[in-house]
Order: sequence, then structure tokens, then C-alpha cells
Amino acid sequence: MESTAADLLARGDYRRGVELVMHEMGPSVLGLLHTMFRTNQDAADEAFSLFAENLFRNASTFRGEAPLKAWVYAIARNAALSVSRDGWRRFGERLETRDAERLAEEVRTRSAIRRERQSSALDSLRDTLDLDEQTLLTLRLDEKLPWDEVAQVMSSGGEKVDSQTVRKRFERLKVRLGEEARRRGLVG
Amino acid sequence: MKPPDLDPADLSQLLEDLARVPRLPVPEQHFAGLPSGTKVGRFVIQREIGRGGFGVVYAATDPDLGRQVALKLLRQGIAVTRGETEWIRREAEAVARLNHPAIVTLFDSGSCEHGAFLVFELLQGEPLDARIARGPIEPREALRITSAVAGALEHAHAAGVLHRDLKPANVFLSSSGTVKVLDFGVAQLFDRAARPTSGTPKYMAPEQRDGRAEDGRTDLYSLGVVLLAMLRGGNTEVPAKPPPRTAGELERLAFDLTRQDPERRPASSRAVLDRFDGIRQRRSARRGWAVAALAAILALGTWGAGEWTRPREAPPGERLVVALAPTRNDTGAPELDPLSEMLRTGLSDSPRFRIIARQRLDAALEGAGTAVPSADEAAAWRAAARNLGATVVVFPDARKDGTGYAVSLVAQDATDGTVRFESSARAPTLDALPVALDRAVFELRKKAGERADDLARNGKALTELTTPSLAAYRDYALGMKCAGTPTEPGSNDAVMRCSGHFRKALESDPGFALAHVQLGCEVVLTGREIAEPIAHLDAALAAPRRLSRRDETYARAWRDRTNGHEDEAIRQLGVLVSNDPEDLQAVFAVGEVLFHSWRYAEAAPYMARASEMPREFPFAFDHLVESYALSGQHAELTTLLDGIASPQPDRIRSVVRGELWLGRFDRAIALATEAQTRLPSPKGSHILLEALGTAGRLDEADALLASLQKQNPDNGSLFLRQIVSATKRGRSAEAWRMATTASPALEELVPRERVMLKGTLAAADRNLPRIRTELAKLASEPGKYTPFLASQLALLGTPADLEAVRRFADPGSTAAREIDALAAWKSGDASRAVSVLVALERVSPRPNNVLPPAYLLAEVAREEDPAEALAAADRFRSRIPIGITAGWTYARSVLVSAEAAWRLGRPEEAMEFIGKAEKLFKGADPGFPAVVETARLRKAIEAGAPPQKGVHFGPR
Repeated sequence: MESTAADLLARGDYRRGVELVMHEMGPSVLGLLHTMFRTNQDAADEAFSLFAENLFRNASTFRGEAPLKAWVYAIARNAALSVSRDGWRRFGERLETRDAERLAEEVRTRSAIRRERQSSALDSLRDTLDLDEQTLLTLRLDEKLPWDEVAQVMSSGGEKVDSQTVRKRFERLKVRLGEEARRRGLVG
Repeated sequence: MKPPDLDPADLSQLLEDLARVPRLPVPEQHFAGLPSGTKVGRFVIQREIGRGGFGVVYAATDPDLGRQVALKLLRQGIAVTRGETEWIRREAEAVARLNHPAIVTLFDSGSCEHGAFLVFELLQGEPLDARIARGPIEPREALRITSAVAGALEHAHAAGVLHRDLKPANVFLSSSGTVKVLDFGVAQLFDRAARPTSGTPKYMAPEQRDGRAEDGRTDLYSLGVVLLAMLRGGNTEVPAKPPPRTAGELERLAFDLTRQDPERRPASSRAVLDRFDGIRQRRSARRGWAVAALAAILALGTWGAGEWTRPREAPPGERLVVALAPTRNDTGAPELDPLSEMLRTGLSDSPRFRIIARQRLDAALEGAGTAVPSADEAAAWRAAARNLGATVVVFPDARKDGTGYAVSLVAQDATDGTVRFESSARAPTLDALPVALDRAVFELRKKAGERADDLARNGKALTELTTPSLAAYRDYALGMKCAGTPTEPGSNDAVMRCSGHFRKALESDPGFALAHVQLGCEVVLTGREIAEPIAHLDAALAAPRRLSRRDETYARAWRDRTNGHEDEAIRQLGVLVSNDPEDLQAVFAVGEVLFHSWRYAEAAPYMARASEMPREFPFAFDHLVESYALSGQHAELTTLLDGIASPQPDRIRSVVRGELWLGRFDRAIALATEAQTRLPSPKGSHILLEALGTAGRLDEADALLASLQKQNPDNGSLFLRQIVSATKRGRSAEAWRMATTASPALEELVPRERVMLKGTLAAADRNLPRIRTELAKLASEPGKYTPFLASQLALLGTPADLEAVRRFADPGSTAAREIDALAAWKSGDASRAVSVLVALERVSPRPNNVLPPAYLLAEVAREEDPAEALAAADRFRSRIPIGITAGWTYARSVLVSAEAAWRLGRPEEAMEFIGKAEKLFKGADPGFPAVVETARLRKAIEAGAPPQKGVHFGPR
């Protein structure tokens, strides 16, 4: 699909190119957004609408220099960041996408009881991930994107990061999640 | 970094679980439509007319029969049960056989390269959901619509076809008044799994949701929910208990239709129709009685004629979009000039009116290239108002009436100028006019269809919301006009210049709350003396009768802000904006508070909106540029700047800054050089100075600074810049001498600023005892400079210093989180420090009372994570440094870059940074810490030895 959609876009057949992208990659992007904003599904839908809008708007800028997947996920990430920043205005509250410290405290208090089920523990671990961290994990492990493409996605719309930095962040995230998971009795 | 004691396989599994995200079906609206002219079967697409659960609906032409049709294109790939074309055909034929006046006719069906499609008759009108969105539907109309739908259901059920997706969006109210049910049986053409899963299946019967057997009663359940939605204006909550005896018959019927158990619902559509008939007959009998009773009362002549002429009330929540034209004042009394503005305040509590801001009207006229028309040119005002979406324009008109005064308020239809409603006031003297105006405004609201309960609830009179003194209002209006016209582009002198008008207004009417609000809010913006503005805000809030709800909220938000409750202020102002997106004063205020709370990404859209009104909000553009820059929205910033051919004089500084943020130094310096000639001295020179400094052309900047200083020896701001520059370049002794030797320029700084300056100079020298002394001086009276100095001591000092400065940082503040990060770093956990600072920088990229997180990130990561450090140092330098922060940390960041590049195994790049640092330190004091570190680092790199742990080139 990737090469067909990329060809369509490169040929200037934006409507069909975007349609194909939406058809094939839309469900994964929507899933990622719903995972990022799991406590606020309206925000997820809002982010997806923005993603869809920007996909159409930017279709003519796709030159085939970057791999299509990285290009699409970069648009998705920007949409998520934008909705997250505007959260309070759109949804009457500031979206809590990350407050690792608050959560860590909560976990410390709760760990004495240790009665959470595995799945809810996994959810609460997920709650410590911010937008970029979820994106990083999903692109690398679920979508199996190479490091340089992950770096391209994470560089979109602002600060440039290279693949080495992204790898470092991934390693740090792994360590942190490992520690959190151990504290919750999920592993080890 | 201590490796966790985990089973790697467990961890991998866990990470994969966290990484995995579900694949969710994409809602139809996100798919592109077909362009006009596309052929679908024999039909030719004209335009898209809507999108629904299964696909996109187009208006199309049928060339064979020469008629217009509605063509519903089902989305390819997900909706149609593949391989069952025969079944689809049979079902479609069954649906096509339905022939009932309340069922839209299915003409045709087929499939093509774009997917399967259905062709229906094309209707004009609106769907029921759009009607419900405007408010509840009166019972008689709800009964008519529901009966028609029940009739359609009866017909279809008899033909063996269920609807299965009955909801207001599928009931169409045609312009001719008929009711049509759409998409009959369409749900059956698709497999269950393909149904849209997003949204609440509010209209679905329980058996349908659970996948149990369905029959006609399944549609009746949906009909019950539709009825509820009509009666309650969209609320579809199904009652759990039977309604009370006092409830209307329709409510009771809706309850029966929505019983969970199908057995307890009416058995068939016929049974429902019978109940409708019963209700209708009883209603008609009652109405007959009421008409007879009324006739009797009229015959007795006791019914007030006024009741009969009362205009029809608008449905709840329905708003009239209104523009107010300027006042036509032929009286010669200038007190009546601001009548239009007064009227705006007088109507602001009314839920019936949504008033278009006057600034928007003016801007629309200016944008159209027309001069602002006079109050007489009604057609021009109507046209401008119409373009902004107004349906009505109110023209206030004041004239002499014999020896007295008369005012008329005429509401014209924005389209054709016909008079929609009007009211008037007369008074023998000017002093008596306001009370007459009170009545005229109420009259106007009533005639506009405002509901009686709304009038009662929002009963404050015009004279209460403004002032009973026309003289006081005139001064107030002059003050507002003054504030909206700065003497010099971009200047912030409105407070000084205009507060006199508001004070004068208060002399005429000391209880004039709006004047208090202005004095309270305007002065807060300067951030200096706040006791007086607080007293004004408190005076305004002490008299809630004298403020509209909007103005009270506005004043309260400012009061919250002065108390440091920014979040609450933002919330309240946000409510004003969502109530009325045209309330530009509130729009700007939200952006302003967000901006000063460092929430730049959130501030940007508000500033973008406010910057469309440069006269009223001269800072909006500047804040917009910074908001984009500081939140990393470089694409938006580029688009904004590239769209400006030659900036207005008051925007030059902002545009130069924007170019600097983007790293387009040459463009910035070219424009700043031009600014020297376009702007009065020394403004242009200041801009150029900043551009040269940021671009790293420090020698040129210093030369310019020296020449300016010579011309303006007593200028405090230039003086401060000189001190900063000396510190930045390692001339510490010179900086210290300037900061401690009495001079007129130094006198311009307030004592706390002087203390802060000395503390920061001590930090540049890493003179810990002196930083502690200066911090102790600030500690007696904590304020915005204390965390700034505290964060410097936290970076440079001992662990004991770090613990000591914690008390200067509010829990959860940027300063507190920075101290946490530095504590982690000093105890050997650089990784945690990096994590905290990365997250902090995202929310607070350029706090103005602590060292920027990017700088601290560069320091703490330079050994453990040099790539992160290199990037952070670069970000820090590319953000235009403000105030004294720009001093020693700038040079240190260059050195951090050198060290990080070296640790990454890139010695050439490291030497480039060393070269930059050395150039910076030309003429520096030899013992300046960063100078010493530069020399050590150069030596280590030249030695060619690999970087070693434990050898440090900066604070630890």
C-alpha cells in the first residue's frame, strides 16, 4: 500500500492518495490517538479530525523524500500535541497527559495494598507515558519503524532530534518503565 | 545508571503490550468526497450534501430521466457485505417497493469503482436533528412528526422491512412541511460488524445492542427515544421510572415505547398510531374549551390588549446575531455620542442577543478598503454586518424633540433593511433621558422575542449596568477610545494617558463599576503598583448590581490574576470566550494570562485572533510571534513572517525577533538595520543590538552599544545591557564595578533589581558566599527575583545550598522542579535529571524567573548524554535570551556544546565551539571561571585523549 499511496501523492493525485492512506493507516493512527488520550476520547477524536485535515492540507508537500509512514505519523503527532496544548480550551480542562511524579506518588501509596489486577496495572503504567513516549514506543515496537524514521517523526514541527537522541530516550524510557513495573509487581 | 533487576523477556513483553495500539475504524467524515462531475453509474455528481454513518450523500443528476437525485455512496471496503450481491439486490428491491408519503423513495441502487450506491429522491428542508439542536419542539409539533414516522413504520413493517437505524438524522422535515423517513432498511444491507462503532447507540433498542432477535418493536423503541429528544431539546436519556401522573400524555407514551422489555412496549405501529389519535382528540377538545373560555373573557373586556400584541417568544437558546451601528446624534449634546457603546453594555446580559464587536465591523470596513461610513449610511453598515453574519442591525438615533430629547432604536433586517422591531425613549431633559432609555432597552429586548423568564432573570437596567450619568459615560467612552488609539505604534502608555478619563467618570458617578474595572485591569498590566488597581477591582466587585454578568466575570478574572490564581482567571475568561467568541477583549485577556504563565502554545491562537485588531491590542502580534517561537511552532511562525512584505513600524521589532527565532539571522539584521532609519532613535538601534547579539556578532553589538551609551549616558536600559554584555564576555570586574558604583543609570533600577543583578554577577564568578549574601537580602521579602537567584545557587552551590534554596520555590513550580532535577543530578542520577528537565522544557520553555530548563538540561546532560546536551544548548542559544539571564549562561552554553561534541567523538566540531568561546572571551578577565574551563578543555581536546569520566569542565 505504501508505495501505491506514495506514488499517487507524488503524481499529484492527492485525493486518491490520501484516501488510500486514510483507508490503510487511518485505523492505526486513530488507535494510537485513542491510546494517547485514553481518558478523554473527545480529545482523541478532535486530534484525529485535525490529523485528517492536515493530511489533506499537506498532501501536496509530500515529495517522497521521507518514507510515507514517517510522514503520516509526523502529522499525527503534531495533531496530538496541538490538541493536548489546546486541551483546556477545547475540553474545559487541561489534559493531563503526563504527571509521572503525581502518579509515582499514587503508586507508592497504593503499592502497600497491591490488589490491582494486571490489566489495570498496565493501564496505570500507560498513564505515566506522555504523548511522545507513547508515540516512541508504538512507532518502534508496534509499527517497527527504523530509528531514523522515528527520529523524523519526533523532529516534526519543532526541535530536531537525531536517531541517536531518540534511541537514548527510548533506553531511558525502558529503564523508567522497568522500574515502575517492578514497583507495581508487574515484572521481576 | 543502575540497571533494573528484571527478567529481560518480561520487560520486552511489557513494552510490547504498552506499544500495541488498537486499530479503530475511521469515521466516514474523514474520507474525501467525489469531485463534481464524477460519474457514478449513470449519475453525475453535482455536490456533496451530507455525510452519514455509511457514506457520503451527493446531489446528482440522472441524465436518463433528467431529474435531480440524492446519491448515497457507501464507503468502499468496509460497509457492504462482500460477495452477497444477490442478497443486497433482493433487499434493495424490497426497500424500493415501499411506497408511502412519509418514506423517501429509493429509485435505484448499484455499484461502481467508487463503491456501492443507493439513489433516492432529493429533498429540500432540514433533518430533524438540526431542528432539535435549536431547542425543544413544542408537543403539538412533536406529535405531528412522530405520528408521521409511526405511519411510515406501519407501512414498512407490513412489507416486512425494519428500519433498524431510526434517529433524528434519518427523519427529514421538508420545506413543504411534510415528514420523510430516510434510509429505510438500509441498515439491513450491511453486515452487523460493519456498523459504525463510534458514538453512543442512543437510539438503539436493548435487544438490538445485544444482538438478540429484532422485530417491529425494535423500531418503536427508537421512535420513543426520538420523541424524547424532540420534547427535551436533544436529551435522549430514557426514563427508568414511569413519569408522574402530572406528566403529559406524550411523555407517558415515550416511556412505554422505551421499555427495556419489548413485550411491554406497544405491540405494533398501529397501536401507537391509535394512541396518537387519542391524544389528538383530547387535545382538540381541551383547545375548544380554552377558546370558548377566552371568548367569554374577551366579552367581559377584562383581558389586557397588551397581552395580545406581545411578540412571539423565541425558542430557548435561540440567539439573534446583531450589529450596532454608530449613533446618529443630531442633538448637539456630545453626551449622547456614545449611545451605541452604552447600548452594547445594556444588551450584554440578554441571552437573546449576540452582538458583533464594533471593532470587527470597523476592521471589516477597513479591510474592504472603504472609509468607515457615517451613521447615515445605513446600507453600508448593513452590508458590513451581513458579511459578519449579523441578521439584524440596530441604528441608535438621538434628536431634539421640542425642548426635550428623543432617542429611537431601530432594528433593521441586515438583508433588506426592513424594520424588524424598534423602541424609543423621550425625556424633557438630558438628566431624565437615561431612565427613559432603560425602558426603551427592555422594550427592544421584548420585541426581539426575548423570553419573559430571561427578561426577568436578567433584569438589570441600562443605567445600572453603565451609569445614570450621561456625563460619566461620556468620560468613560473617551477613556476607552483613548486606550484604543496609542499615540505611538506599539506603545504601552495607554494606562498613563487614559486613566484620567476613567477617574473623571468616577467623579461624576463614584459607583460607576465599569470605570473601576478599567482602572483595575489596565493598571494591572504594568505589573508595578498593584494596591490601587486591586482597590478598584474590589470596588467594582462590591457592587454586582452595577456590572453585567460578563463584566463581573471579567473583573473577577482579573482579581484572581492579581491574587496569583492564573488558572482560575483563565477558566473564567475562557467561559466568556466560549459564550461569545466575538468578545475580543476576553480573547486577548486569555492569551495574555496564558502568555505570562508561559503557556505559549495555548496562547498562540488567542494572540492570532487579537492581532487582527492591531489598534486595540498592540501587543498581540509581538506575543503571537513569541508564542509560536517558544512553543516550537516554527512552521506557523515561518508562514506568518513570510506573509509580511514590509512590516508596519510597530511590528518591526517583533518581525526581527521572529526571524532570529527561526535562525534567519541575515534577514533579521537587514530588517533591523533598516529599522534604524524607519524608527526614531534609539528604538531602531535597540532592535539592531538585539539582532547582532543573538546572531553572535558580538563585536559589532558592543561597538553599537558603546556609541549609544555615549549619546545617552543616563539611560538605565542601555546601562543594564552594557553590564550584561560585559558579563557575557567574561569582563566580570568591569561589570561588578558598574553595578556597584553610584550612577544616575544605576539609580533607575529598583533596589531589588540591583540586588538580583549583583547576585547574578556573583554567579558568573561562581562566588558562592556572595550569591548566598545577595540571596539572603532578597529572602526577607520573597518575590519574582528570589527563585531566579535560587536556581543559580542550586546549580552552582553545594548540596547544602540546594536544600537551603528549596524554600524559595513554590511546590510544583518550575523552580521547584528544576531544583528536583539538580538534586538528582548532584546525587549522581543524571538520567532522572534529564527526564525531568526534558518534560519541564516542554511545558515551560522560557520561564522568566528561573534559569531556562534548556540551559540546565545542557549542563546536567553534558557528560552522561552529550547528544541531548548539544541539542539543548543549541535550543537555549537560539531562544532570544531576556534580561540578565543572557549573561554568563550564554558563554557557558557555548562551552557545554564544545564539551558535548568532544564527548560524542567529534573533536573538530568541539574545536569550532572552543573557537567561538575564545572569540567571545576576547578581553575577558583571565581568572573568569568559564575562561579557565575553555583553556582546560582546549588542552584536553588537543591532547587527543578520549574523554574521561570524572574529569569535569564545569559546575558539578
